[in-house]
Amino acid sequence: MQRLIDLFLSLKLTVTLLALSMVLVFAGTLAQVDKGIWTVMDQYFRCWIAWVELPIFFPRSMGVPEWIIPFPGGFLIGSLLSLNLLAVHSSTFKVLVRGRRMWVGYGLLALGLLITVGVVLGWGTAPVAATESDAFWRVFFRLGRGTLAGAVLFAACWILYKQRAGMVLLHAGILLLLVGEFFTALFAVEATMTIKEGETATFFDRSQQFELAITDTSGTEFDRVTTIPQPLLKPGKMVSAETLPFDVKVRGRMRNSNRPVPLDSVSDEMRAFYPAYAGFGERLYVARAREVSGATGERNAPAVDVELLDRETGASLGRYILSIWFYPNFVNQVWDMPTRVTVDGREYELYFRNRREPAVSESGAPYAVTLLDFVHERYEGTQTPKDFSSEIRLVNEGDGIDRELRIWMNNPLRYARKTFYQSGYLPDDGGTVLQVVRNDSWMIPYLSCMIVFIGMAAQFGLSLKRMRKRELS
Amino acid sequence: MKCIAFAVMVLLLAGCGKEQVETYDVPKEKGAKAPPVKMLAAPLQLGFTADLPAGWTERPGQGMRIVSYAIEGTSIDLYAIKLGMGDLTSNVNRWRGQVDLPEASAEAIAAAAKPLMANGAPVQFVELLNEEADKGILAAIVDRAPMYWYFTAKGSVAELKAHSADMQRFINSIRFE
Repeated sequence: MQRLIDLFLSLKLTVTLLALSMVLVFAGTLAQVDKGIWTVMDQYFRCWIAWVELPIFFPRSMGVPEWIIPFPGGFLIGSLLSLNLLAVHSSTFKVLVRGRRMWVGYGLLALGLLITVGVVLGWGTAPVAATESDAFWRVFFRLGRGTLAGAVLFAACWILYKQRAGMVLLHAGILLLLVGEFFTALFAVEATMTIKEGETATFFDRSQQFELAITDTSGTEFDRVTTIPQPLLKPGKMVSAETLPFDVKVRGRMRNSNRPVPLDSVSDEMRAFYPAYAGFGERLYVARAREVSGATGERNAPAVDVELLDRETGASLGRYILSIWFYPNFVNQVWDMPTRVTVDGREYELYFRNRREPAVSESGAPYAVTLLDFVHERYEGTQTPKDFSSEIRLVNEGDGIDRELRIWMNNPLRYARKTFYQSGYLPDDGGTVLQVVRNDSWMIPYLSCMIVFIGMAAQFGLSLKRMRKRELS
Repeated sequence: MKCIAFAVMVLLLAGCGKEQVETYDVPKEKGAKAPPVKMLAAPLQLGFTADLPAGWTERPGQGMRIVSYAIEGTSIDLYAIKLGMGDLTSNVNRWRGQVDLPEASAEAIAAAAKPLMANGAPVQFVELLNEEADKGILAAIVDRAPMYWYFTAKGSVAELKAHSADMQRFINSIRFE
């Protein structure tokens, strides 16, 4: 046990972990030549063990064997660094006061932590944080809130740790940054909201999660939607739902698929191995494609190959290739290609699409965003974009909110723990694409920066004072 | 130390939501989109008929465009116009400029043009693809002097390559009224 404690107290461990993290960042960067950024994030950084592929370190033409080397992942390195920091902190920095002074210090520390929690959770901020103020002042005030928390914490550290207050504070700031990234990795969610001018959206498309949606459109008033999340769509697996008269057999899953092309435009060799699909696959060629490189900024287009089987007889009702290329929001609503099947006289529409998340506020009330106007300004006489913005109407009847707001570049809207950024637009400026991010720890980097800044400034000031004192004496 | 490990485990477990099939009802959209009508031939009032390849949908023309076509699964902009001039070299060099390709000589253009036939009318079909800029034009000039029909498709290189054969079949199938 003592050896373990000594290990966590050692500076060698810190240096080793920092060196490992450098190697990991290097490997993760090289891996993005072949893989998308989110795949690399999951495979290298947001995991306990990273599986590093040997060929990434060599030119691809060398044909290096595809060996996979286990390496400490981002979570493991981050956790060990945090434990190392905590261990060193608790053994090195001892509270130097007793009695009343100590309790005052603890009281101030509790107040500082309370302010920190308040800043992270956005206590006192407006429920609908519209983008009306200047970006500079918005960032300035955020840093100001971080400074307030940092100043109170510094006062507490000054009482408790005296001359070492700066060191304690800056280490705490770094620890907060590590913890913040851990929470971001676990809980942050990215999505998009695509709205045509004059139309209303009530849901988000999760960017990194997908689902197979089967909609029974036979009803007169309502459509019944059955969704199968991607983790259940494992090759070979059969998925059943009470609402469907057929079972879904997963024949294959593709992380990326090619843009659909006419089947007769591909070579005979490619056609020979192409399954006999029904639906769009009957005349369009959609197959597994190499994952897009993280360096290109392109997106993967996942697809799923499914066969529908009659629930009663087990007879095949057709094999379908369902690619996200057929989903309108993936292609900025340039086209809409639902796969239609009729079973037992009922009509169904199938999409493999981004996972849908209903727009719901913290109180549980649903809300809707209407795009009133989309403005795309260009520099005079050129096609170079100057600015684009979305005039929206946010309505939440349950919470009594009905406001007209503007979202534009670098000036997002914050509402219901989500941030709405202006991200893109539809062809002919016919609508907007908003990126919607939920990250409850988004304020932590601001906070950490200011806490570390105050800690470093204090440490520097104290060192300077000591040096001058020595010089004078 | 134990407390930290416990807290981390609780957090990890909290993040493990069970995935399952879900069902919900949504009200039908007002004025819900009708299923796209598959057109087998262009309407007579255009002045021609043709066999539309699978996945092509006819769209009404706007301005100078007599008719446009949407090709399923692509963002290709394909349309037809009719003009009183039909010089191959000047037209091709104009299109080459639009896709950032340098001008070419009349001989080179004539050599690259593929002759097709539309209902007895000679057609010059050209493929202008700029791989670097990922944009291109497929164009067919149908010689019905004194009027010339232009069928122009603009889009990305991969999309145009994939649909070039369909476009050529479409041109060959044109029957003028």
